[in-house]
Amino acid sequence: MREPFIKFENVSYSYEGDEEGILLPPVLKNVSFEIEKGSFVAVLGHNGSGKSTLAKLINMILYPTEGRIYIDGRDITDENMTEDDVYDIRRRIGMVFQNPDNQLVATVVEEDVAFGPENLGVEPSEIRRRVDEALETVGMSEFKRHSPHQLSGGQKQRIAIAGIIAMLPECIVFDESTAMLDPRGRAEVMDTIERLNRENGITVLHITHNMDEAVRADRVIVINDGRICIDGTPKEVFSSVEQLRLVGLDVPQVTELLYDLENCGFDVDHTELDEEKCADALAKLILGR
Amino acid sequence: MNALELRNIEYTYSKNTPFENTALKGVTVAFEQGRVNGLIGHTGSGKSTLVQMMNGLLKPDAGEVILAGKNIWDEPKKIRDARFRCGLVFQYPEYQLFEETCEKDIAFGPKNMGLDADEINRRVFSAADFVGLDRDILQKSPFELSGGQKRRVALAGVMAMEPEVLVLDEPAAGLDPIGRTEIFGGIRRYQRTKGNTVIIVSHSMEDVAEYCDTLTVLKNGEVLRSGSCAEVFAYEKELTESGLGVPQITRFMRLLRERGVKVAEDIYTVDAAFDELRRILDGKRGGADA
Amino acid sequence: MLKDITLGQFFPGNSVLHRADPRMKIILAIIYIVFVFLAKNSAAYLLAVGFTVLLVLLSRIKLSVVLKGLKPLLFIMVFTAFFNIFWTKGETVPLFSYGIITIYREGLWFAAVMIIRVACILAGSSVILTYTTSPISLTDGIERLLKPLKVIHVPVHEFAMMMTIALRFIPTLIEETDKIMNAQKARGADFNSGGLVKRAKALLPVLIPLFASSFRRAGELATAMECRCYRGDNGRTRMTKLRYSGIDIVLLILFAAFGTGIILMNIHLGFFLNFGMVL
Repeated sequence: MREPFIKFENVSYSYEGDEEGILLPPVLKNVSFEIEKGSFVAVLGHNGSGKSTLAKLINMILYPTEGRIYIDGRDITDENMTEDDVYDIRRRIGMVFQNPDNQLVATVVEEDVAFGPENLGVEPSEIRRRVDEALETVGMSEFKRHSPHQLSGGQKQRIAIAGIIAMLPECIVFDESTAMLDPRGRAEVMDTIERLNRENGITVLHITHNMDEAVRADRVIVINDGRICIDGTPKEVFSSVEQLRLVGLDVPQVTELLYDLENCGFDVDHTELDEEKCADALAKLILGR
Repeated sequence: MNALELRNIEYTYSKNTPFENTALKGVTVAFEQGRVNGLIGHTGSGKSTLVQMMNGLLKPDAGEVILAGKNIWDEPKKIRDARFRCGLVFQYPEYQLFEETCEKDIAFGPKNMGLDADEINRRVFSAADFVGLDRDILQKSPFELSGGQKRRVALAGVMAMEPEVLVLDEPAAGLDPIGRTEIFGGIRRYQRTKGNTVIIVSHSMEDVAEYCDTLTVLKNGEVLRSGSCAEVFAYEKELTESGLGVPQITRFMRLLRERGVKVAEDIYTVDAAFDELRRILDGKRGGADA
Repeated sequence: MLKDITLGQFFPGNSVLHRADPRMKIILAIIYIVFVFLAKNSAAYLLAVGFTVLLVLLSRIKLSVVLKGLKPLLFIMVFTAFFNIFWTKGETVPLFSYGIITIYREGLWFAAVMIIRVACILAGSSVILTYTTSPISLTDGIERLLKPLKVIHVPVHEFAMMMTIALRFIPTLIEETDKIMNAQKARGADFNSGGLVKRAKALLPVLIPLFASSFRRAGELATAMECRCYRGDNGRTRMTKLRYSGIDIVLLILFAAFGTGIILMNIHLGFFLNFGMVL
């Protein structure tokens, strides 16, 4: 088996309370998992389940209260990590946040995309090349001289993604990056994420509470109350209808329908996620051919 | 009887400047008393502008806004009354909370109405009940609450004005399924108890299908379709082209029809689909037994 | 609506002034302002007006746009001109006298000079700087021009970064203020009636959420910047390297010529061409 890119070993995290030294109840409890290089993993959970904390731990914005985290074999919870090491991890694992407005720094799109590589001290000509390429990848080249506030939410989020790609990361964590977008913006961003994973081989960790988006991943991890409760392919995860309902998550409407029909004793398969195939099977059952 | 009617509304932003932008081009729509109406359209369709017409925050360039039979702009000085009678909850309303306690924040609207203390109290508690906020939460600062709770406090703040028409712009935006159910539950309780009219602006087809009686679709500042959910969802192709689509279950029913299964055309919730398919499958099973 | 206020006043284009280096433009603007102030006589003023018109032509921005930009200050110009006309005491015979109103030639002269000076400086510095330089390259120019000050521990980079972020967030915050005001109006808030105290109080429901959200934004932005490896000026490079080009040199020569012209007019031609005094 290949060496995992991200590895959590019994990680727990508690935020500090108002009084110094007093820890609040843990938001992550003894979490262990591994994420392979090049995979597209969705982390599903409702608000307060601990899924955003997980993202911040990977990027070293937070440090675990207990446990170890390895990135590409390197223990990032090690005390010998220097400041340079920390920034190296942050370069290799980019983060895209929820609010598109609160992560763009510059007043011109291309200047913003250049921000990351500039911080890394990349050569000016190389920055130029990376910026053009990143904007091309997210399909925003024609907007490079625009001001961010003239753009739609989906477009701003794509600029934020371009700003990360320009740092040439190996992995990008999307921390509910689609939550504030309208359906069109959501589709734009999801398509971009999928392309980055499939074509550029970037490892993607997509944190969301939207099951339609999770269906597009290779693997879905469901977090509830600080613990991983389901982990598997989208097909496996969404067939656990009862369990998902229990933790307050939705399942796709067709899955729900087929699950209910199956429970009434009809011979249908609720684990199929493709609408067309479901329709074929159901039509066959009803029409008997 | 229509609780709210908009007739031939036209509106242009930044008129006579290079940034001129026509948001509404003669929109006519009526919202029936006591029903839950959906208003859908993607960003830029003019729905947010239309919503601000309803309570007089924006004044139409042309057209009339008729609230309970009376044009709200007949007496421009009394436009504040329209705001109390047609309560508007903006997108992400939790960002408008400002008081020390939730109770005080919810009381802000009723206080502006000039009600007496007892009445304000009654309304605050009844609004808190609608959205399911516990009494001890009311004494907390809104800044201490979780996102979903804040949203419910903000919603209660408008409900406490007990408006005849309650308008909500994307009430569930950014919430997880639990938060969404809580918000819509609160809206439904308000509507059923008070018998008042509700208008929900949304781009979630699944949500409007589940909670609305009628639908109005806006596109480029004009009404594209208007009618019951079944009537509107019948135009699946048109809706998809407008970037809206139909609920997954409606699409699935169409796929079944295309494969020769005779399912009814007016199905847009999972429950309805389940009942329909069960009826068909039971019939078939019964037929096979006989 | 608040949103309609245009900010920065930058008009994108590709004129000579647009292409000039922002650092050079800051220097040129200073040269320009200094020499307009140094102008002493009508010939020098004539030259200043002529040069300003030349700058407007060079910027390829419509004269009407530039004049419109002067409009907000029209009142102040007329007001000061008015005082100059009626309150300046001349040594010669009054031009006009009626009751307590006496107008001297010097009054008219000072009024005219006032208006020309203010109009020239406003129009000129706008076309040199704000109209033709994007806010970001302006900030950039300031940062690089002041770089030597870093030696004496002036936080030049931090200051420039603050400026950039402020420029980036002004439209966002204006939009947000608009939204919050509307949301509070929808709950019956009244911002337009009552005395000063009442009005100030009525703004609390807007200011508190606005502050809260600004803090939240600041926090999120800081995290996002850290994730993009921002660590101050340390080892930071820039995508665009500022380089002086031929245009900058030509412009510098042009401005030097202008300055020399003004001085010459002041010293020599003043005696012969002093229209104002002849009038």
